[in-house]
Amino acid sequence: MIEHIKILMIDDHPMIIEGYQNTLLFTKKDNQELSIDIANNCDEALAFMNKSIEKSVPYNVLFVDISLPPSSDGTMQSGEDLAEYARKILPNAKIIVLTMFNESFRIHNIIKTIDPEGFLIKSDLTSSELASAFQAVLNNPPFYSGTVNRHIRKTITSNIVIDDKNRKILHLLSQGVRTKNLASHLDISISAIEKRKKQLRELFSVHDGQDETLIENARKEGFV
Amino acid sequence: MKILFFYISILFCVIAAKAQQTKSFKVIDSVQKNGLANLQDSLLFANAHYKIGEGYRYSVLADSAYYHYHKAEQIYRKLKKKFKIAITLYGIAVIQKDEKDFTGSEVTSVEAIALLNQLEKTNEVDKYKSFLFNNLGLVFDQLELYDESIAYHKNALALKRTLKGNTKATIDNSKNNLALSYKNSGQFQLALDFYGQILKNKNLVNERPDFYALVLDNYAHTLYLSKKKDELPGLYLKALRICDSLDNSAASYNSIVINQHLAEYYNDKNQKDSAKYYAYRAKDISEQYHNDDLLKSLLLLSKIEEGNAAAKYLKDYIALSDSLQKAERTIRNKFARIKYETNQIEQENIRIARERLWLLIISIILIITSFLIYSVVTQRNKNKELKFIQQQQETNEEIYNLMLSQQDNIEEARTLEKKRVSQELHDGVLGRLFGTRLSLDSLNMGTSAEAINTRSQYISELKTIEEDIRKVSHELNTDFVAGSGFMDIIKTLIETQTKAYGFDYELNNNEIDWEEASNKTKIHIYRIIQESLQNIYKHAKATLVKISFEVKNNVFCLTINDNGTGFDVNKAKKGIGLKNINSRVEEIKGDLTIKSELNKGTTIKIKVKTD
Repeated sequence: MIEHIKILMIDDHPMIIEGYQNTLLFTKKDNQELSIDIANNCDEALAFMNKSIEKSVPYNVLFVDISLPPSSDGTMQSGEDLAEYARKILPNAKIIVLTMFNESFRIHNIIKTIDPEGFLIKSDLTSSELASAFQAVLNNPPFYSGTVNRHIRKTITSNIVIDDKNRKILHLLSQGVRTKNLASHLDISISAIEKRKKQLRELFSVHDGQDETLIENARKEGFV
Repeated sequence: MKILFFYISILFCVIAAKAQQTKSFKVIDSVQKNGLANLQDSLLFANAHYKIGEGYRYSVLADSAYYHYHKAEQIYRKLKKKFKIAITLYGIAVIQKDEKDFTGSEVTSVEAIALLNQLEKTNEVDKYKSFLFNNLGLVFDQLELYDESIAYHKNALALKRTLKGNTKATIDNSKNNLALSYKNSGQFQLALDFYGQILKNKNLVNERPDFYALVLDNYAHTLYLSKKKDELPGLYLKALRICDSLDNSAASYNSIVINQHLAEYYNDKNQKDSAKYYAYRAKDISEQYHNDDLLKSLLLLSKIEEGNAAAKYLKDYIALSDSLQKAERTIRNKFARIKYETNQIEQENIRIARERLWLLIISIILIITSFLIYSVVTQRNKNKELKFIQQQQETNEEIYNLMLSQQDNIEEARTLEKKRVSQELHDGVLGRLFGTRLSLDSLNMGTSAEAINTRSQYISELKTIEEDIRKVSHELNTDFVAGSGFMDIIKTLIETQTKAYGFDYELNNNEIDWEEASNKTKIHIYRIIQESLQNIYKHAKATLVKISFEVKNNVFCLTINDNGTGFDVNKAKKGIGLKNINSRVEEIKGDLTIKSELNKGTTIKIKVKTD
């Protein structure tokens, strides 16, 4: 029996999509028939998704890239939003997130908000891993890349628990954002940020008060 | 009668007085010439005036004496020398009396006595007091107030008796005067008593023969008036004989009265010839003097003569009386005028003094005002200087901030660039590389001709990616912020300034590492360039400015050259612009050379050690 699989690949790089296609086509099982739609931006992706619902032929699998230029109407800021939206309108579709990001914060956030069936870090990815991930997602989700697994393990084994805001503070600090600019990113007051930073320094046992040390310790613990 | 006494003394005094007078004049001259007016000198001055007054008094030059006395009196008054004032007033009183200004003399004498009363009693004070009493006695005698006259003479006599030294003569004089008052008041017996007292002194006829003759005559006349004519005319004749035997003017003056008395006596006895003889004699002698005695002689003659001769003498009498009265009036007017003139001089002096005071006040005010103006001006200049320094500091701060913000800008640009590069690597290169890798990975297994063909396509894709990476790498390598920062600020400065001032510029910027230069140096260099451009714009009328930076042997060299009008370097040293540049160069311990040629331009060269 032929298994008909409808796939939507979303990535702004045609080259990558070509790579995905090549890999999948080469490695698919013989009883699988793939019909692949390609979206290079959020708008196209939205159009494909809506169309598939209209035609009542929803996608089975979605390949979603996180870093995408925002949609023209501004509702979709990135692949993350797109994936969330897909979860709502295509509850049965399996979502595979493919991203260049390997920072703990992003990984953490993606798992938390999307909880994708597949989570692949592009730098880890080989064609065989993609192939196995595809198969695993179809039959036995989830499938996570090694980096993602490592991150999850670290956070689980760590005694430190921090909330999302603190996580974001750490992330932004690691990105080189200055403390005085943190407030605008987080929508909280500077004094609140200072308070949180103090907490974080205590949590990560930073004694010299340096942001660099804080980031370093947080990275060790898998929070950045 | 007192006049007589003075004439005796005149003989002795005139010669001495003359010598003294010239000396005194010299004193006055020298004092006036030197214009000294301090206390010592004015005292000298007053003393000299007093002496001259005395001299003139004895010379019977009443108006001159009065003038000098008055001068002396005024100065003494100023110096508050009471005794001196009193003796001067005494001199004035005597003159006034002699000139028949009896009331004036009375007032002056009373004032002098009042002044003397305020002083401690000394021989000298008492002497002058007695003289003044004597004078008052004589005045009242003339005014026919005999009671007062007698009282004053008695006072004078009493005082004179208490005096030390040889007072015989002066006591005799007083007695004579007292007796005269008694005689005039009709108390002949008392008069006779006093005359008798004087005449008792047998030596008197030898010591003061003229005075003796005078007293004798008075005595005889008193007898005549009291109708005791037994000893007459023997006494008269004796007195006349003494006078005639003496060959001096005082004696001949005395003889007038005696002759008159004799004429009067013989007229009474109706011996007309003798009466006429003596009357004419009296007239003849008195004509020399032309005064009251002549008047009396004329009156006498008019009585003795008869008919036309009597009428003629009466007429002469009236004429003389009138002329004498006129003379008196004139002299009194003269006194008044002298007083008025000196008062005027005084007032003039006061006016001058006031003017001087005003002048002093005005000059003090002027000095104070100018001092105030001076201090205000200096204060203002100081403030200006402070303001200037403040301004300079402000501009320095501005430049510093400018540099800081430039640093920020650079930092920001760097971050942006970093982001851009990372983005480009991520989006442009990494994605494609990943895609290609994935494709090649999947194609790796295939061996079909199609697969080989596709692979070679991906390999050539790798080449493009390589090219892209090289591009990014190249972009990273070319330091987009190299030479920026301070040089950018300088460039902006030069660009905007030259554009505003409307001249072209050439900037020769050899790669200089500005990072090592201190902010201070940078600020000063910035300001020097700014100031120079301003100077060039203001004065040089240049069209092209060349600015170059160089570093040679650890010496930084800034050269600013223009093609303007140029100036005389030696003369322009003090311009504020150059001064500023100078001080700034000094501040960074640099070396400034200015070369300028008229109509060819100016070159400013600043050398600073880089370490």
